[in-house]
Amino acid sequence: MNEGIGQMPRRIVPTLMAVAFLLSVVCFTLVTVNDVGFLHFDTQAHLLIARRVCDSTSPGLAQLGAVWLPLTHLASLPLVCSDIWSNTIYGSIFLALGLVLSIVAIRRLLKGWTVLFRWVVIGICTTLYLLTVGVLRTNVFYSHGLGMIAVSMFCYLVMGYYMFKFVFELTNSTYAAVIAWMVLMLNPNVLYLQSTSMTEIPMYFGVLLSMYTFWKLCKEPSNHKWLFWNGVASVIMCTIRYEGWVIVVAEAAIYTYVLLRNRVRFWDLVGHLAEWGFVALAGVIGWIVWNMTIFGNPLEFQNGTYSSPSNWVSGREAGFGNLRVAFLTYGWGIWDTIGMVVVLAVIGLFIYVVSTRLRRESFAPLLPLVMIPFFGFMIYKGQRPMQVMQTEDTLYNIRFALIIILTVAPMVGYLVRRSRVLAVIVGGCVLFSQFALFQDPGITTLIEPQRASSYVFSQLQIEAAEWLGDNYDNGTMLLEAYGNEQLQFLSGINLGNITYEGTYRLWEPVLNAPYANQMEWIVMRGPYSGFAEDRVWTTVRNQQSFIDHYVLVFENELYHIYKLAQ
Amino acid sequence: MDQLNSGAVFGPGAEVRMSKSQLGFIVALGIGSVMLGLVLQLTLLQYLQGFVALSTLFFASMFVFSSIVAVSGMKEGSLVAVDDSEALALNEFPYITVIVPSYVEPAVARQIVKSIWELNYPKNRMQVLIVLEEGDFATIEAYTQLALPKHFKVIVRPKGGAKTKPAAMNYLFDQGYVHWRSDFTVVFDSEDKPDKLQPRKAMVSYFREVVNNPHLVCVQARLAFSQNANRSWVTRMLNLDYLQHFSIMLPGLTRLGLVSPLGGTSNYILTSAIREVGGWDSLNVTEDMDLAVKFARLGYSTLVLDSITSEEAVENAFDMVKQRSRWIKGAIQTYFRHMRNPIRLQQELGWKGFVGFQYVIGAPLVLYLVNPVFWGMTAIYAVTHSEFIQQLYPPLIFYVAMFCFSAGNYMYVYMLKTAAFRTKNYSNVIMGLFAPLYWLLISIAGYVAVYQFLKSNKAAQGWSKTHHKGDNMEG
Repeated sequence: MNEGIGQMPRRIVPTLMAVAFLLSVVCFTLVTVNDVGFLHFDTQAHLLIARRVCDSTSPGLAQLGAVWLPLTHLASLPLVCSDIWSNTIYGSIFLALGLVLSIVAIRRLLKGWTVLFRWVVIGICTTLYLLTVGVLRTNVFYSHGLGMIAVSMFCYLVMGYYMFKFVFELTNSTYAAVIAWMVLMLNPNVLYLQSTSMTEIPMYFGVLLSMYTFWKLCKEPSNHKWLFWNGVASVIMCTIRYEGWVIVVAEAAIYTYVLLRNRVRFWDLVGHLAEWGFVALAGVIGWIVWNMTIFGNPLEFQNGTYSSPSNWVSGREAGFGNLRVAFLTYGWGIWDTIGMVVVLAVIGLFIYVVSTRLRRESFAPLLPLVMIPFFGFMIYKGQRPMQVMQTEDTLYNIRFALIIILTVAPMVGYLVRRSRVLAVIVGGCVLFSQFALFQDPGITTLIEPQRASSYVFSQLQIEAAEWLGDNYDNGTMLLEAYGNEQLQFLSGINLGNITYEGTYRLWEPVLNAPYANQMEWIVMRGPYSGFAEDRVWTTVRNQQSFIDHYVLVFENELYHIYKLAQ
Repeated sequence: MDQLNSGAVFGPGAEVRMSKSQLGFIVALGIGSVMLGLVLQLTLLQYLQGFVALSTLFFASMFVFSSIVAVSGMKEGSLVAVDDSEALALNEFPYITVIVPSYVEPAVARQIVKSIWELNYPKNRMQVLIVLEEGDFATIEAYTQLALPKHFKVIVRPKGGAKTKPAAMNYLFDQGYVHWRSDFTVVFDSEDKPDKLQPRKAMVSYFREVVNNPHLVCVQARLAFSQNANRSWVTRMLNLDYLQHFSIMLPGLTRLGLVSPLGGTSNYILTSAIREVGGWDSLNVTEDMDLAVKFARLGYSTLVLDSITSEEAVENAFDMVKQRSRWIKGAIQTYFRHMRNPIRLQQELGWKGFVGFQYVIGAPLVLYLVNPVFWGMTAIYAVTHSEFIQQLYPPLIFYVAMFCFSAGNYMYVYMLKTAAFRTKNYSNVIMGLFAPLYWLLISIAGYVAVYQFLKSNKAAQGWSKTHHKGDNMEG
C-alpha cells in the first residue's frame, strides 16, 4: 500500500508513551480514589480466579476453570499471588538473586561515574527494591486488584504504541498516526477500563497486534516471519476473550481470499493455511483440549453448568428475537462508547475503501467490524445479551461495542493522512468528541456497573460481605463460588478455607454432608427477584444433620449464613 | 601419504559393541535401583511414579534442548546460502575426489554417472572413484557398458573383510586410489542427484567461512528426498523429516558448536581430515555420524550449505522401519564407542559439547523407546479415565508432563511443517499433522535397533541394504 515507509518519528513516540503512562496512572488513581474500580462483578471474579491458583482448598492451574479464557489470569499470577510465592524459601532466593543481579547491572551501567555516585544510586535502588519486596509480601496486589490492573495498564500502553505504528505504516503520516492514537487512547471508556481488572484492554491489545501482523502477512502471504507473528498475536487475542475467536475466523477467511487472489495452487493453499492455523488456532484448540482434560467436556466453556447463556440472558432483552433492534442496540452501543468521532470514521472508511479498492492487505484495519454482525446476531439469538438506554432505558454489557474503536481510530487517522490542516481540524474534533462523550452520555462502561451496584441484589451481597468480614473466624466454609463473587472478594475471607465447586473431588461429598466433613461455616444464597438460588441452598437446607448442628448467625433477603453450633 | 591413520586415537570401533565397564555400569545401575527400592521399601506404584517422574524430566530437558537448537537453526545465516552468481564467479578450484560406493545398484549406474558429469566444476580438478564389490556382476556389468569420461575410474574391491559402504571407502584410501593432490573428498550414493553448482557453492562457502573458523573441515549439503517425495505417505513424511533435519536442526547444531551428525552423502570434507581421523569405521552402520563425532572430538567443525542433493526415499513402512532401524543402530554404536571413556570425551568436547553429545546421539533413542509408552498411557487414560494412571502423576509431575506432552509434541510437529514451508514445499506442510503416526514407526524401528544391537555382533553390524529404482521408478 505504501512503499518506502519512512522511519517512525523519534521524538513523538516516546512523548506519546509518556503521555499515555501519565494518563494511565492518573485515571487509575481517580478510579481508585472514587472507589469505582470494582463495580463490575467481573472485576472481582477475575481476581478470585487468578488468586485461587495459589490460594484455595485445591490450588493449581485447574482453578483457571472453563468459563473465562485464561491468559489475563495467567499474566497476573506473579502479582496476584506475590505474597504467597515471595514468602517461600524459593521466592526469597529468587528475590535475593534479583537484588544481586540488579546491583551488578547498575554498577556496569554506571561505569565511568564516581564511586560515590555509583553507591548513592545503588543505595536508592536497593531501598526501592526492598520497598517493592515489602509490598510483594503483602496481598495488596490481590486485595486491591493491582495485580490484574497492572496487566491492563501495561496493555493500554503497548496498545497505544502499536496503534501509532500501525497507522503510521498504513498511511506513512505522523499526523494520521497521532490522530488515531488520540481516538483510541483518550477515549474515556478505554481509560476507565484500563484502570480496572476487566479483560477488555488486554484483548484490544491482542486484537490490535493481530491486525498489525495480519496486515503485514497479507502484503507478503508467504513470509514465514509474519505468518508466525500473526499466529502468536492470534493466540494472545484468542486466549483473553472469545471475541478473538470471531476475529481469527475472519482472518482465516481473508487469508484464504488473499491466497486465492495470488493464484496459489490448491495444495499450496492448504499448506499456507495449515502453517498459519497451526499457530493461530493453537489458543482455541488448546482451550478445547484444556476443557476436555479438566472437565471431560471439550465444550465446557460453551455448554457447561456455569457457562450456559441462560446464566446471563433473561430472555426479556429487546434485541432477543428482533434482528432490527439487536443491530440497533449494537449501533447505539458504538455511539455511546466511542462518540461522535464515529462519523469521521465512516467518512474515513469510505475514502479508505475507494482509495485502496480493497486490495489484499486493506482488510486488516477493518477486522473488528466483523463484531457488528456477530454481536447483532448473538443479541438476536440471546447468546450474548446487551442493552442500551435508547432502546430499553437500561445499560448492560455496553462495553461489547467498544472494540469497534480499533477500526474507528485508523479510519479517522486515514482521513487526515495528506493534510496537516485537516489533521489539526480533525484533531480538534476528536478532542471535542471525547469531551462530549464524557459529558453525555458519560462513561457508559462506568455508569452501567454504577447502576447495577445500586440494585438491592448487590447491596444485599455487600451487606453479607461486610458482616462476614467482621465476624468470620477463619474456620472451614462451604460456599458456592459462582454468583457469590462479590461476597467472597469484598469480605476478604481466606480462600484456602472455602470448599466450593472448584475444590477437587470434595465439592459434592461436602455439599451432601457438610457436618460429617467438618464444615464450620455454611453460606447459602436464596432465590431473589429472578435470580436463582445457589446449590448450597437447594442441597443443604433440608439435611437433618445440618438442621441439628448449625445455627443461623446472619440473614438478609438474599443470604443465610450458618455456623456450627458449639 | 595416501594411507589412512590407524584411528587408534579413538580406540576400537564398532567391532566392540559395548566395553566390559559399560556393561558393568548398566548392570550395576539395574541392581542399584532394585536395591534402593528394597531399602526404601518402595511399592510398585512408587517405582512407577519414579519412572514417570524421571521420564517427564527427560522429556522436559529434551524439549528445552530441541527448542534451543530449533530457534538457533531458524536464525538467519545458520543455513549457509551461496548465490548462483557467487558460485559461478569462483576462480580457485580445489581438487575434489568424488567417491561413489555402489553395491547391487545396476539400475542407477547411468543416472549417477550423468549426475556427476553434469556438475559444474572443472573436470581436471575432479577425480571420480566408483567402487564396486567383487561378485556384484550386475553392477559391474552396468558400469562396463557405460562410456565413462576419463576422470572417472571404476574400482572393483576384492572379496574379504566387511562388505560395507565405509569399508569400500576406506579401501580407496588404503590402496592409494585417492589422488595425492586431493583437497576435498565427497561421497555420493548411487541414486544421488546433486545440485549442479553444488561443488562450487561448497568451495565458496568453505573459503568464506574458514576465514572466521579455521577449524572448519566439512561443508555439508542438504539432502532431500525430492526424487519421489510425493510417491506415498511414507515418502512424504521422510521428505518432511529430512527438510526439518537439514534446514533447521543441523544448522542449529552447527551454529551452537555442538556435535552435528553428517548426512550419508554430499559432505565436502577436507581429505586431510579424513586421513587424520583414520577414515570411516568399517563396521559402524552410520559411519558418517561416527565421523562427525571424531571431528568434534578433535575440535573440528562443520557447516550446512543450502544446496540440495536429491535422493530417493524408501516407499513403504516396512522398508522405512528397516532403514531407520539401521540408522538408530548406528547411533547406538556411535554412542557406546565414544562413551567408553566419558571423562576423556568430556575433556575433548567440553561440557557444552558433552551435554550436546548426550542429547544429539544418545537421547533420541531413549525418546523413541519411551514415547510410545506415554502415548499409550495417554490414549488409555483418555478412554478409561483410569485411576491408576492418575496416581502415577503427582500434581507437580502432572503439570510438567502435561506441558511436555502438549508443548513438546506441538513443537516437533511445528518444526516438521515449518521446514516444509520455509523450503517452499507448501503442499507437504499439511503432512506434518500426521507426525505421531510417523513417530510410531520410528519407535518400532528403535525397538528393532535395540534388539539387533543386543542380539549379536553380526546383527549389530548388519547392513540392511536399501535398493533404488532411480529414473526407472515406474518400473
